[in-house]
Amino acid sequence: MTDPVQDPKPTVIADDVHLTYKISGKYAKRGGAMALARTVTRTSTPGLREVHAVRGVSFTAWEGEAIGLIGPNGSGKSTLLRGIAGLLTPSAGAIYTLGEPALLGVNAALIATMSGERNITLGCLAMGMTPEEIDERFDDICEFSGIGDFISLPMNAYSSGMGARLRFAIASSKAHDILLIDEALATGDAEFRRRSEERIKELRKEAGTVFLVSHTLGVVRETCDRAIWLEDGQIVMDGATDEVLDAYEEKHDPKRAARYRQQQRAAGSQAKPKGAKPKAAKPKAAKAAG
Amino acid sequence: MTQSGPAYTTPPGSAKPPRDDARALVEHYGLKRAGARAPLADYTRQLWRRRYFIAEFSRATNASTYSRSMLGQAWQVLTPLLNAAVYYLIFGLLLGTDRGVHNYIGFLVTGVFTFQFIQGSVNGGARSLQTNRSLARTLRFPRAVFPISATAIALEQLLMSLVVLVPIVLLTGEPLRWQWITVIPVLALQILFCIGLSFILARIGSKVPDISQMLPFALRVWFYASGIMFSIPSFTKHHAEIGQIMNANPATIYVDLYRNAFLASGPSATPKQWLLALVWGVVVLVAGYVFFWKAEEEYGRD
Repeated sequence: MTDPVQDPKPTVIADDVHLTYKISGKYAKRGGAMALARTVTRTSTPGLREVHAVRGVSFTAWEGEAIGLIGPNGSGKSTLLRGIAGLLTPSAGAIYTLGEPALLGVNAALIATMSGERNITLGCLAMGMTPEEIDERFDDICEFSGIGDFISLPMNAYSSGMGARLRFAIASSKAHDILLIDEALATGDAEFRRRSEERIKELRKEAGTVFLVSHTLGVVRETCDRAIWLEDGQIVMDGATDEVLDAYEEKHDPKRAARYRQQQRAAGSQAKPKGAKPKAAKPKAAKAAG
Repeated sequence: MTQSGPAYTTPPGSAKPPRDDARALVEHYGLKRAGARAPLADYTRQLWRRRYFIAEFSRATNASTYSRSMLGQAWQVLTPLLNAAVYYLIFGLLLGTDRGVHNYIGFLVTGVFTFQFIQGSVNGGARSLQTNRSLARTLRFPRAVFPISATAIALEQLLMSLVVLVPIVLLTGEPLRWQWITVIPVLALQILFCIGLSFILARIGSKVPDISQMLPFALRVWFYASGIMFSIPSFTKHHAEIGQIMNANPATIYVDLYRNAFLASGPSATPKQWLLALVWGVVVLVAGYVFFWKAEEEYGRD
């Protein structure tokens, strides 16, 4: 049905991925002597537990796609992002990427004791920019973050929203092949959210792929054309945003889903029941065919 | 792949290929495994591209270390001065280990300051991956940045110490000679050696965090074995082998070369010492770099 000038390329392929991470809990018996006794008797460290966060996930993401990852807390969304970013190694299966992924997490601290300005320079340098490129973009980044005079204060003086805005401004100042956003937009205000949605759209135009983890389904509906629903580390559903989100709401928030359906019906009887954005599903259907 | 209930099936438009398909796509478009370690040459190139980052990161870390103290970065000069004063008091005046040395203050201060560069690199390197965890978990770049900047921080400290060292040496009656220029090659070789050490300890420290509890003891032994506050030849007269072992110790070699540059009264450097300084520097750097790179995929994971 479409005749793309260029074949879309796959940017992320997850092939039956399992991700686990270890966490060390509190030591059961405290004290230096006890710890030494444990070392001598070679009892295993207490409290070291393994969390099997992602269990057998497979999908392929294509260039130009924006994919929302949704699911309840602890469903493995953030872990999956860290796996794609190459910050966690799968215990089974494999994740392949085309290009460098960049992760933007809400807790991703740069250096808290340093000023916002210095963090901008450091963040950009770490992403591999040259000092000249930074000079060019520095003002843009400051302006986009919109934190004003706070830019010269250390980051530990920032509110969580301001920190998130600065981090987003830094990370999105460079075109990434794959941008992974973990709840970073949740703390911003409405104005900032609107601007970051625009920025995400721009990034997608530059043939990037965007992954977005969010509990705010509205943000996912606005920015993503595809959604993956995770639960207990497994994919429940993968498809067009509206279909997946409707099904998700149906399960987790039936009342709201009913309200939403009513709104849709009231908005226009000529539109299809699920047709908030019928355009969104199209490009993907083409890719699936090609 | 698994569905939790029959109601939620994957729609046909989801572009989810079966397994064999995934393999074919990976090969056809040349995708790389996420987080895979780059080959050594590429890794080095990526690291070179981050050279400004290393410089800025070291500068920023150094500044923030002292940001909470009243005297600020003045401590970079005060710490070595106080150290030298303490050693002079104990070893020069109380214990009298100054035998066989003409200008003991110059001898001691040169030794203490230049050994501290090694000490700083070792300590900083061992901790570098632990302290920068949050940065390492956020952005992907060659992790070799961290041990290198640990050495760069120690180097800045050394340069500040040299500013203190020069007037001390001159005040204790040493003439300004052409040999002072040889400080530059010694420093260059010592930097190679220290970066190499920092790499090695960074990898060990990332696996065994307990190493930072052990290091002060190891470093103290090394300090005493390197003839920092006594002249090795005068103290090992009756134990030639021990003297030889101590003289082959890289810390002794670098410290002696510095002394040879600054102090006219001391013994002059032999070509063998220069050769050993070069070999130690290059070998430790190359071995350390490769050793660190081998575990690149394991840093910052838990």
